[in-house]
Amino acid sequence: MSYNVLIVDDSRSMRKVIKKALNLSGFRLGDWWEAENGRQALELLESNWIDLVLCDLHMPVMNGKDFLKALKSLGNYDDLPVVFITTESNQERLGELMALGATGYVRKPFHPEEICSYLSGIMGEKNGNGMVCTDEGCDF
Amino acid sequence: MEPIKVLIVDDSAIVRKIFAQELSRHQDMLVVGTAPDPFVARDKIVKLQPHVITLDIEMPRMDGLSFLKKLMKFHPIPAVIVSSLTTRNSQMALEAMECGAVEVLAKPGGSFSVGDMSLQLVEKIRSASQARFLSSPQNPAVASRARPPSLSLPLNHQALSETTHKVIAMGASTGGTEALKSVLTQLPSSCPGIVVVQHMPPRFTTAFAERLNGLCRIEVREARDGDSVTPGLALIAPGNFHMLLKRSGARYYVEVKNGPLVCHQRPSVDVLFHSVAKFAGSNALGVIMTGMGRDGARGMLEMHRAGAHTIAQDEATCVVFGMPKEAIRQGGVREVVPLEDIPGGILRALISHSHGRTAEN
Amino acid sequence: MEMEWCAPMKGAISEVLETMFFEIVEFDRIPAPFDTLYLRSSIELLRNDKVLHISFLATEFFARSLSSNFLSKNRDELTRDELEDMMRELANMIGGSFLSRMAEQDWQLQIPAFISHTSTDEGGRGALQLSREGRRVGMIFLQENTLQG
Repeated sequence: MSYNVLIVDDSRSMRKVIKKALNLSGFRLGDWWEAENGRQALELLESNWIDLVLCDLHMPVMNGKDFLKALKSLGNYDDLPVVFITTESNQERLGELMALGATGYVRKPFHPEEICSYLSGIMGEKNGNGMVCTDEGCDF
Repeated sequence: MEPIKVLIVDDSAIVRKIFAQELSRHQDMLVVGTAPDPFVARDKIVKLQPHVITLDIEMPRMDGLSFLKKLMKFHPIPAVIVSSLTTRNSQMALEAMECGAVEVLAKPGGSFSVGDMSLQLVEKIRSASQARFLSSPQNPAVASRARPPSLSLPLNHQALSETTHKVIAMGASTGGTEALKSVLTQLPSSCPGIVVVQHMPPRFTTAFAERLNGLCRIEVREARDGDSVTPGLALIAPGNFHMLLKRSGARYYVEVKNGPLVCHQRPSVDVLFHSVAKFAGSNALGVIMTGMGRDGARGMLEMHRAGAHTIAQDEATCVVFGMPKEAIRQGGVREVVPLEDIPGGILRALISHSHGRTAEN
Repeated sequence: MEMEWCAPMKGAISEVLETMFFEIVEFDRIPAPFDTLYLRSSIELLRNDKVLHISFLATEFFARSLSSNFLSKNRDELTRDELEDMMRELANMIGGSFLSRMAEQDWQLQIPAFISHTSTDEGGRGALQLSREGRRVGMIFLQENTLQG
């Protein structure tokens, strides 16, 4: 089992670092897509099966907030988790994102382990109580 | 013959085990895998390339509907929805059909045993394996075709008012919920009374009727025993019961009753059409639509012989071209038309027929 | 002003460098080596008509060390683009972390920019000096301006 992730960040380095952090942390990373801004992200979502979006807030062309608004207005993506990875710390602005339908946020800088446990939780895995769905008993 | 490769997606280990066990009894079925949740399911669909999946719509982590929508968009595959018989789940199952699932199966429970379910499961998987993706909502070409230009319909209310003595009988199975929706939503409120058999489990037919009622200009409800068939009303046969047309003087009404399965079905289209041929004769109009099997073919021939106008949905627009094909083969079909032309075909036939009668008289 | 921003800025730099770049720096005033070439990025914080301009300067040597840690790449294989991208991201994170440590939270973080290479030691007097193992590796300084009409 694995999760297909789309990263939206204008910094190529940051995209790479987040991918590395996810891989190192033991997150079940499946396919990986990268977008430089919200506009590109919307296009990628239209043509690929993506389970989770990690998104920067401050980006040129279409920023994270406008991306979130556009995504929610499409209607087909209500259950797609969108997690912001951002330097933003203003509670009011973070609250706005949550009100717009963001699933959560991770503050940059971050430790890889934090990201993994946070994201695994968002994907519905619960740590340590055997609720994690695996392939066990499903092999033919 | 290559067996039908099936993937079972269900969060219940017991259901996965029972399904796998029941399917293993059939030579033409091969369970290639099971998955407890949508993420595992996706991996296995990509890896194992099953022909059909059975999908529980109430799952942890991601509900079956969201999964189905993505599946139909990125990896279309015939899906048999498995759902418990609650009102909420019936509605979800209907939504699943709108998203492109082709069959719905009720989970065992109450008086409905695993044995009953097993037979239906196999039947539905066979039907689903024949399904073609014509009416996929994601396919824009089809979506635009499926939206018939309602203005072109002969909405001659004056003419329709002379058809109050008519009855329209319709039968459908696999892919039928969407096909029926596209036809019934186009019919005007002055349309003659309609009786419909759609192969579906109980409760799902209730939800289906409610859903259509919200979308149609005519009134749609699930039939109760003794209901009158009147203009502007469509009656849907309830799951697990047969529905027959009867006549008392000038009044048509339906009888809803128990009885043996006919063509493996209850409600059966043949049972309905047979009664329509008998009690409405040339005042009836029959429509046979998408579905696996041969239910309705004999009844349609009887209707045809009794003087009714009969219409079959064409192959290109059928999810499964089974029942219409058999009806055509048996010789009971007068007109074969694409799905989007069925409403127009119905109204044209009604009007020309009623004019013809007037001229004769 | 100087004392006011120094403590939170030190905290921000330490946090960002230690968490994402695996580097520890000291805040000592060590003279700049002669004719040092710096890479410079900046980020602005806006609040009403006030602009807080944060400039981050790193020696090429230090920038390569940071990028190398950040991207797990050999320092000699780093491209100019990667260095500039890392400098922008660094300014971004330092700006964000600094902001979260300030009393007033209603500043708005802008998009970071890579300025250029520079050899000047401008702002040197009020700057916070960064050193590592006894060598000066960079500096950071703030300018506060008021937006014109």
